[in-house]
Amino acid sequence: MPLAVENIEKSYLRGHFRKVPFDVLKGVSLEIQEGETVGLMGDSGSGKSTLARILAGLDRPTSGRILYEGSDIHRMKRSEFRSYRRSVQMVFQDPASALNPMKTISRSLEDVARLAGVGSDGIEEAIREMLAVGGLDPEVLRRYPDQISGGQIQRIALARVLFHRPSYLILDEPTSALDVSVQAQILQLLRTIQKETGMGCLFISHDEAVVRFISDRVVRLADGEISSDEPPGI
Amino acid sequence: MSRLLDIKNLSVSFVSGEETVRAVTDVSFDLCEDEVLTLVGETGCGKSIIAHAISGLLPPEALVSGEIRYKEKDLQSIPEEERVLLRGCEIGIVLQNPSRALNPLYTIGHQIRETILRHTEKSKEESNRMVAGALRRMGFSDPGIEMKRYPFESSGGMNQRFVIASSTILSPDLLIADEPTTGLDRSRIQDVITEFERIMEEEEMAIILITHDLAVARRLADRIGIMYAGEVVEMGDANRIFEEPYHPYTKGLFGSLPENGCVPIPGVSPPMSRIVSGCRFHPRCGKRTAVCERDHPQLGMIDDRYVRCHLCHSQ
Repeated sequence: MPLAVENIEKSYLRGHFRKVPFDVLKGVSLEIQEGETVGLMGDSGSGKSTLARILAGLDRPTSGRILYEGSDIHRMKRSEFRSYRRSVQMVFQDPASALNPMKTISRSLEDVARLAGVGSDGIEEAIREMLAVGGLDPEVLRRYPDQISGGQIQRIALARVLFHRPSYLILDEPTSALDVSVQAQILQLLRTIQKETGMGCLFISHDEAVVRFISDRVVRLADGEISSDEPPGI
Repeated sequence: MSRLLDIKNLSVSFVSGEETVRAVTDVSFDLCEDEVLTLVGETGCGKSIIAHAISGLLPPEALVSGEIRYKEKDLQSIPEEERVLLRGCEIGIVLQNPSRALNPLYTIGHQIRETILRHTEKSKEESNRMVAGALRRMGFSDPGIEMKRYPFESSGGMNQRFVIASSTILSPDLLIADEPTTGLDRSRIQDVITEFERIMEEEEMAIILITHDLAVARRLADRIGIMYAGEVVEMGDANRIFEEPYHPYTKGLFGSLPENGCVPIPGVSPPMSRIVSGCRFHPRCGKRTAVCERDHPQLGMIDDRYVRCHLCHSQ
């Protein structure tokens, strides 16, 4: 079942003293098929991250619908919405801020397993699975987020969201803070996982070459509107 | 072209508890007037430490050895007051994060003008005219408005151009730019590149550009130095190295680019506190031999460039 947004509009109030409405998204419609990677490009402030947060259910649009399995996610029952949030996961540019700095990686991964409903006796196996998916050395488990590299943190972030076996993954500039050789490792890992699981992806980046490499389709946002939607080769 | 900067056997390390972090080991290079040298490498390879060492901005606990000679003066041994006078006047510095390089409490005009007032005898009015001229050259059509802005009122790209304006307003002989495009989106990166191209064309300035963006390096560099784990592993003419890299790490780095198929280098860079014996790249090198694991290779000349690799030297 595709994941779609229909005519999404989003306005914020902006300004330090006098609040002025600002339209971030002005009627955006987009559909992502299962197994497809859609690259989303645009300058800072074009509305890429706002669209990503709306798709992930982290933010509500001012108007418009987000359709998953034919239903509007904001008209779903609570239990259905929770299941949507598990099915559509998000990876951020700075995953370090998504990891608790006071917890070891082992503790953070344990929390993920528990939240997914894994019992105490299955936790070790769950962590092993996450390490295998992310191609991580078990040595990272005893470390804190500030003791490991950006590439390792991004692998942990990927492994963590993939544990929920999402149907769709939204990645907001996942490699922008990484070096090219680490970026290559993460992009190849993502490709392999996608081939194995058939999940759909929305890959946000301002790096043209990265988007062309990873995407089946490239959508460009400019001033809150889709300005083009075409194959990556064009 | 005469020689402006000469760095010999520069090593920088930090002692933290029982660990010694060898951030830069035995780096030597020179720089001529008008030349653009780019240092490229991954996070933690020591390239920014070199920039900080030349600028005299290393923290006091840094252990520095080797020589940094600027116009025949040893920068390590001159008094701090003389170094402060050089910085901003003869040596301009553009740091990675423009928002942190600018004071949030002062207007852009005030901050750029400060450089002129600090280093010259010019009046405030004359300084203002110079600031307006610099901003106009930087592509701002109405400098009067920009000068009254505070850093938070401008985008990251605009702030980076303000920092470049401030660093180059006194036409320094040497400009050190440490990751000037990091964190900016493509169109802002283009603005910064255009600005550097203008500087290279119109001003007589040597530039050390530090970046991990290979596309930026390729556009701007005359000469390029590839760094890995605190050492220069390949250095020479930028076009020649981009066309035909010799060192296995340089090849791996270029192969990691999306346009070259995103072929990753296996493994990760070593922590600088636990440097391996032999060639520092050998654990990740697909072509390593026993000698790579045993002996540390020296930087030696092969054809038109310097390379630090046993295999390249034996071929």
